[in-house]
Amino acid sequence: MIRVVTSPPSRPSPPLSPPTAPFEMTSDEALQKVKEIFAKNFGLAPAQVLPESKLYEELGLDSLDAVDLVLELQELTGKKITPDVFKGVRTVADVITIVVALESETETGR
Amino acid sequence: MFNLGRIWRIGATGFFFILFTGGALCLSCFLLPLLRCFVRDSETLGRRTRFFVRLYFRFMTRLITFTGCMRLRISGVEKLRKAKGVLIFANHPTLIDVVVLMGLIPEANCVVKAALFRSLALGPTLRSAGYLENSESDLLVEGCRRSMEAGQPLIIFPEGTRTTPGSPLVFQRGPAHLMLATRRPFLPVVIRCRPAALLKGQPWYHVPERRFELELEVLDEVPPEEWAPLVADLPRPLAVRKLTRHLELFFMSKEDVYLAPNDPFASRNQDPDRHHAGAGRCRPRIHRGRRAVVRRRPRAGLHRRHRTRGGHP
Repeated sequence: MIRVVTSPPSRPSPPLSPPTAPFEMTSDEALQKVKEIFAKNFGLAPAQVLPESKLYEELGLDSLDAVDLVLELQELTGKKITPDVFKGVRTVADVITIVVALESETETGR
Repeated sequence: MFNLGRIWRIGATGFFFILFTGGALCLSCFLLPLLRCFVRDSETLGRRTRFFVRLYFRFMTRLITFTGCMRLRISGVEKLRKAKGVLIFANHPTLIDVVVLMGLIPEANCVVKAALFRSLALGPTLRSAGYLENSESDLLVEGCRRSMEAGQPLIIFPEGTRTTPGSPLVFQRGPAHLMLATRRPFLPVVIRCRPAALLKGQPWYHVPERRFELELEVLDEVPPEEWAPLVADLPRPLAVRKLTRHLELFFMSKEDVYLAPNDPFASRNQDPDRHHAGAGRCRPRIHRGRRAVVRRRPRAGLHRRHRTRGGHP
């Protein structure tokens, strides 16, 4: 049977399931992924998204966008993110910290 | 000749500011406790409070028109009266348009600026009436959805504040979120104020030379099918941004919605560059009861220009 692969090979694993191969996401990789999310969902150029960029003041996000960002990060990490975890997030660096922490949690959980 | 009409309108405007605050305080201090004694259920309390607020706003509108401060022109008012469970979007050029619009629509709920909920005069009334606080959060979207499901027309000023003279309209993204979440039709109301009065940042006594005309043009309902194709395949944040821009352009395309910066009565604080091109003079002459006189300093030199007295062109 011929299996047609429609998604590109670099696409992350399906939502809410842990990655099949153990890997550690570095901050740079996390930043890249976050830049991709911001470009796809908010139309922000990757050059604009820097670790020190403030989400609400500089990148023009609001609390409703934060809800969508949390959903995207859940899809990326495969883990549920509670509102408490995301409450203190102000900059892109905070988002990267959460992503790396969640990925390493998945890693140590195996 | 003194512009007696203008002096009268300045006095009347001051009086209306005091009356409005006083009336709101009376509503909060006397009527509301009385209502609370007889009505226990918060939904009925909200309905009754909104009824009295509407009555009060209609009274204020009639009084302002009667005293010659404003001329009101409304087209399509029957569309407002029939509106049930729809979104009503209106631009917000002047302070008085809220009062007029809310006075026209029965049972209407409204998204109100958050700062007004903390005001002593208006706060208790707004909370009892069940008006929604503009906080740009998902709670507001949920509150709006519930209100519309109850059949209440929902008045939203997408700008969130009065239009800034000299700037294009800038809408908040909450209304677009609501449109995407509820997929309900919206009813656009274009509000024009000619000449501009009670603008953002303008002192209350900057009253125009003649009575201003407030025009409310109620356009046809716009069904979701008209804008849904624009945002069909986009992720939600991008769809919201595109829809917001679409709404801004929709309103900006209407005549006389944009407030010019060189409006003589626009606040100086709004326009740091007062010496704008095209005006021809640094400061508009305000008619002081005699023909404005331009005194020209005689030019030093051999030839002195013959001094003339007369009106400045």
